[in-house]
Amino acid sequence: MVSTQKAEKDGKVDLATFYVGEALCGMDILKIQEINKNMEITSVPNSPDYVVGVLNMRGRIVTIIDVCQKLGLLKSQSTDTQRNIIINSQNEYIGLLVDKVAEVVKAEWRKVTPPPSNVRGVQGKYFEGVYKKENALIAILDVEEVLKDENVS
Amino acid sequence: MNNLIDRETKDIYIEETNQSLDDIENQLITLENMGADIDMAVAKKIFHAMHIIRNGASLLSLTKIKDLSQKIENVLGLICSNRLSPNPEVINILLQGIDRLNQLTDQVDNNEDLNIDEQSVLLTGLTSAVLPDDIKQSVTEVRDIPVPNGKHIFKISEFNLIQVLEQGKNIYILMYDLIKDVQEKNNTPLNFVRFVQRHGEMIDSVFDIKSIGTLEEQEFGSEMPYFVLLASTLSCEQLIKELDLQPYQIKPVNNVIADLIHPKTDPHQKELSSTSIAKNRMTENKRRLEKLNALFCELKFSMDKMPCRLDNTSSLSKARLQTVLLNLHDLLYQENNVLASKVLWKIGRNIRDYAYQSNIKATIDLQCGYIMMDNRILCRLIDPLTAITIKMVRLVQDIEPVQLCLSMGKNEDTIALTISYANPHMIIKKTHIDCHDEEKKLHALSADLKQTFESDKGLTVEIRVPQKVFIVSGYRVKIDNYCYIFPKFNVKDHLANLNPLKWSENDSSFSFYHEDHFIPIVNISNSDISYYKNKNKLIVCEVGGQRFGVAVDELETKELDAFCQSLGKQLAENPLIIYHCLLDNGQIAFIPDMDYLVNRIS
Amino acid sequence: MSKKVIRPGQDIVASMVPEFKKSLQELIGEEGITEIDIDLTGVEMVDSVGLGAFIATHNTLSQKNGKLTVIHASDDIYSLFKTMRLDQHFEIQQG
Repeated sequence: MVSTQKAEKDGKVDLATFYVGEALCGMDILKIQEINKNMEITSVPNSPDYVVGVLNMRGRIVTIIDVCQKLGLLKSQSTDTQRNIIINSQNEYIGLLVDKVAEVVKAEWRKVTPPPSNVRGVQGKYFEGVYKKENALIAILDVEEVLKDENVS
Repeated sequence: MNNLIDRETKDIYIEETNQSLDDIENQLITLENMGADIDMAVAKKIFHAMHIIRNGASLLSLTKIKDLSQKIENVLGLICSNRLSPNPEVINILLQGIDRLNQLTDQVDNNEDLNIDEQSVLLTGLTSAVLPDDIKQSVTEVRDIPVPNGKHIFKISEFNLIQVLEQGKNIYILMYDLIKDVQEKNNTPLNFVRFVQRHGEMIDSVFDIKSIGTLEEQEFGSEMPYFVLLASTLSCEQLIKELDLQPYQIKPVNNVIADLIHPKTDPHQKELSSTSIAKNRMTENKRRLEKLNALFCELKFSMDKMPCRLDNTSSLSKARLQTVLLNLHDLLYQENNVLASKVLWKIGRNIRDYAYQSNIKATIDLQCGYIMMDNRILCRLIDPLTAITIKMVRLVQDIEPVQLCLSMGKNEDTIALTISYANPHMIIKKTHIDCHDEEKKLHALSADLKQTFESDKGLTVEIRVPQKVFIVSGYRVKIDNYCYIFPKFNVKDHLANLNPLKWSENDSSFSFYHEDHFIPIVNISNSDISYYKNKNKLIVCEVGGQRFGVAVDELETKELDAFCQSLGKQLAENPLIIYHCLLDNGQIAFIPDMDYLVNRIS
Repeated sequence: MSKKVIRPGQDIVASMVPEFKKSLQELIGEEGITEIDIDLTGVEMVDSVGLGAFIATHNTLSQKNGKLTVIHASDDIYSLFKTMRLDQHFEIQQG
């Protein structure tokens, strides 16, 4: 129901792809403000595990979320390949910490199919759909769903 | 009379005075840097130069320049006769006077808007403190009586006013329109003036000549505002009747000058005490404003965390309180705002000092217009703007003097300060400056910086400062590697080197003996409270009358202003913190929710 | 020399002021005169509108860095101008 609605978009889209755990995810590149590797993240006291902390991005304080943990996977390991993907959600900037950034993929919405109930251990509800590219399956992230508060029914 | 001297003489005077003022500036800084062993020759040179400026102004009827240079000359005279020492405070006041003189000579034909009151008070304060009584009499005592329209001030010698008051007369300001009150009543100005003089003495009068306009502007029958300062034995009501006035046309001013006869004090003693009264009032006002700001923060914090239930009554009362908060904010906004030029002039002083010490010629022209800004923001701008300006000065390769300009513009809720080269046709070494440290300081004010290089303009640095900010004054504290700012309003005391004997343990709660009471210690983290025994600093807080302590690792006793940024949605549920902010070094600090802390008292 | 003397020769009152101002404007605007002496020989009275004309003339000339001088003012007119402090703006000579 909901997943079919999401997949009903038209035209072309450039997907920025990145790894969350083992899952190769994608996002409309137009939704991305920037990608940086600034890891001077200040942790926030009394905050849930998936909140990595806050970052000073040129004078603006941005909250950084560990996407892995938010999606229910194990905490991502600190490696050199980690990056912050800064997006704008509901008028504020949020950083999504991902394990590794991959290439930009040109896709067409009509070729995007509804997501399965489970993508590499992550619930299907977090995705708008999946796009098949050669041998890889890119799971297009529904960012608003990812950022939604779990406690609100 | 000013029309006996022609234009050329005036121009020559202005040019020579400007040159002289530049020299005087340098000589004043030299004097200050001499410290205890001043070379009297330098002081005498400045005194002499000032004397010449004053004489010329008097001859050319340039009243403001004459009055201000007279006051500066008086102070210099005291320095020359060793009755006043040229310490930094004195030199600062003199330099402020020189700055204003520079502005007056730059706009000599149109300096209506520039007044010399502030500088005059400061300079007279210096002389009054030092002069013995007999010499004080020769310094002219003039009282300002402003006209209600705010455009004119009658300046009358106090001696004259005292005479009038002692004769039992009252002083009034009469406000006429010659067209309405004279022409349209088929009267002539001559008759009108004689008629007025029959009922009192015209101490002074003035036309609002600007309102009357030029030949092109003036339309037939437009107004001719005319104000009279009248001394009369008649009462206000009697004058209204005799002179056939409307009540709005007459204003008694006795209250403004009542102090001249009660009590009878030495006028200079009065000026001296009024300067220190003014100074005390300024400090009192400052403290009062700080308290108002803190109260506002406390109210806002409570409102922020007030639960927003769907219940109609509680959301209505929250809405009511929000309106109160908004109105308070607007009022405070006006209280906190001052003319930017009043604070930013210090940048000019800093550049002057830098140029003097580096033996180069560099100046910055501050064009702040009438822009008002929050005083707390202005104070924090001085250091980064000074540093940026100095870096821009160092970029220049020429031997010629470097002239920079700081201009300000307002765009809705943001104020832009632009530093550029006034003479951009010089060679600069690079197309941008490295100012990461200054940027961090600006970010802490929620401001940002942009550098642009254009081949014809050189480097331009633009700093944009938002006006709508929420500033909390507090103390920086470090607990377990987290940095917090505890609001000043809630902090009552801070202790270090805690006496281990003063701790008391009861089950799982701790308390500390302070000022005759045991105050409970709040555990700010989720770890075991006994961990806190190892911290040797304590901050004593009070929320809603309830006192408690929080054990900390580090504590800064100097308060700072935190520019709060709202928490993102992902952090909004965090009960411990209510806002976060940036520090001057780029670090992020958290404002704790004091309500939450007080509720954790077990 | 851009100086001129004007002699109105009549009372400076509301009825003649528009013409008077026009001729002054012409002098200043078209002929480029910046220094004007208004000779008040034969002038016995100045009314409020006339006063306004003097002030307006001074304002206009000031803008052009010029100068207004009133000469040969009668005793009454001289005393009026002084009482009203107009001598603080332009020069007035008794005569």
